[in-house]
Amino acid sequence: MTDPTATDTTVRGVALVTGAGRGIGRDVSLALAAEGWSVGLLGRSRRPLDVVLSEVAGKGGRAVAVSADVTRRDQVRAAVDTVSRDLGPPDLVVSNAGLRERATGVPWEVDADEWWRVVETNLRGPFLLAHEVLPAMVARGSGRLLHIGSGMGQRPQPGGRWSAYSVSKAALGRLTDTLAAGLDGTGVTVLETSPGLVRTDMTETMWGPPDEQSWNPVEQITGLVLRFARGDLDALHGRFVHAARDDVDALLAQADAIKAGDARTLRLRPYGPDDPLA
Amino acid sequence: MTVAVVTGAGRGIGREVARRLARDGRTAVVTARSADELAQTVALVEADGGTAVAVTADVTDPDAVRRVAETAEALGDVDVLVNNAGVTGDAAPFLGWDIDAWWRVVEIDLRGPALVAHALLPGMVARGRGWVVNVNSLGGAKELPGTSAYGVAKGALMRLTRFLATETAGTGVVVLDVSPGLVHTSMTDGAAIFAGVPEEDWTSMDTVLDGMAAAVSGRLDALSGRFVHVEDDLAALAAGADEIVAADARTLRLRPYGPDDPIG
Repeated sequence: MTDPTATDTTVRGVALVTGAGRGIGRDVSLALAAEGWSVGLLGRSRRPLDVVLSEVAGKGGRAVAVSADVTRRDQVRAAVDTVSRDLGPPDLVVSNAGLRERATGVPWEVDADEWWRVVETNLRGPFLLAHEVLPAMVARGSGRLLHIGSGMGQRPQPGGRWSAYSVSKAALGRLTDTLAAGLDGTGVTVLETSPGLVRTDMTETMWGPPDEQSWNPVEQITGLVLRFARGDLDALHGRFVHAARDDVDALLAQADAIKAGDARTLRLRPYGPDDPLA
Repeated sequence: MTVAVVTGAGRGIGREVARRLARDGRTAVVTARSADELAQTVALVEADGGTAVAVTADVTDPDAVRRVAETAEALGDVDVLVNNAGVTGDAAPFLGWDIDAWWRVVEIDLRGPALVAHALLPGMVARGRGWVVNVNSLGGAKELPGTSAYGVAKGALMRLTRFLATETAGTGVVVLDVSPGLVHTSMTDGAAIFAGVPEEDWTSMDTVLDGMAAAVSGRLDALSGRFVHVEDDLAALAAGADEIVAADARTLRLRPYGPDDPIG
């Protein structure tokens, strides 16, 4: 589980990544471990977590694997407890675990229970985790929370498909800026990001086979996570940053204006300057 | 006679909307968790000379929602759904919320409307006629301190409205977010977050009912998928619908930081 040669872990701190067994969560976990973070690997299935754990350990990193369903309050609490005991209390949490409906379809044809299960994973999961880790972060006066969102939560989709996924990601976006407002001045930062279209088990079967150029390299999101983990993005607290489409340094240069304009949050778009709801 | 389903119709806005829709000639199928409150709503509708049928139901219970839909469809062609049932929960900082209470707000305010729409849309689409009104709030698109669950759920409901409108485009079914504003009801009068709001910022029930009637009149159909407030100049909004749609306005979007923002 631990590697005594990973001596710089105390410098970087403890990260907790959900959905760490596959896809983006796996790459984010490996990137964090390579930078010297101790990583709590959470996922529903044990076997893929153990594979990631072996990879981390093989490179001299430090990690612990915990099976947990992020929608289950008792399991989230137990997982945070295990990570805190074995590695230390998390300084960084990446709520990455996500689910989509099995097949696209008009919303009233998607099974209603399956629709809600997607919302539970993509919203209740990050909510439970935030509720579990934030008291300790606030008490310490430091900590970072990253939500893996999606542009699908923000824009109309062709044909309106994937409604459960998109509605849940919009809800996550609202959770991000709502949390941020309450965390102002506590030293704890929350950020929302989208990895863009990264080739994973989930996305490959979601949009069909686009051309190779349309996939975003996973290094864009892992790079953004590392910058957030270091504290470079704290000025964008509560906002949305796109790992593939944004020039993060340009955003940082605008950080004051973004905050003043309450930009990069989900808001009702006015029809013009005369809109009374603007 | 066509049928209107109104959820959360045991009191407050839902009760008055049901009375108005019944007065305007629809059979009102009214739902709420409290049978006693529903009985009072039915009595009020009948005193007005209208017809109402009560179905006691929790909108977060799929089986109960199925019963509502079956009852309504058996009474006639359902052409109106007003997803009104909703709660704010007690205001508290995020970490002061009980987890189960927080999630319950999300279930009532998001899963409830999704379930009822899921049950009634197939019939509306098959008949080529219907209006789904999701009672929504500006709180879904900005900060109302202490109401994180409500804000998250109502924001998500805006996205659902937009999705359903996209899906139903061309079918004769219209989906709107309608904000009643702040109306004196048992929900708002008991809520600490609204305690300091000056009287001129409250909306009268008559304005709410006129707005709801407009939403199911066909006059706002070009705004399907979008958010209207009953205090809006609804005629002006309808006249400007083309520009609103072209700008994808009156819907939840990422607010850009300026004209150079690559996203938004």
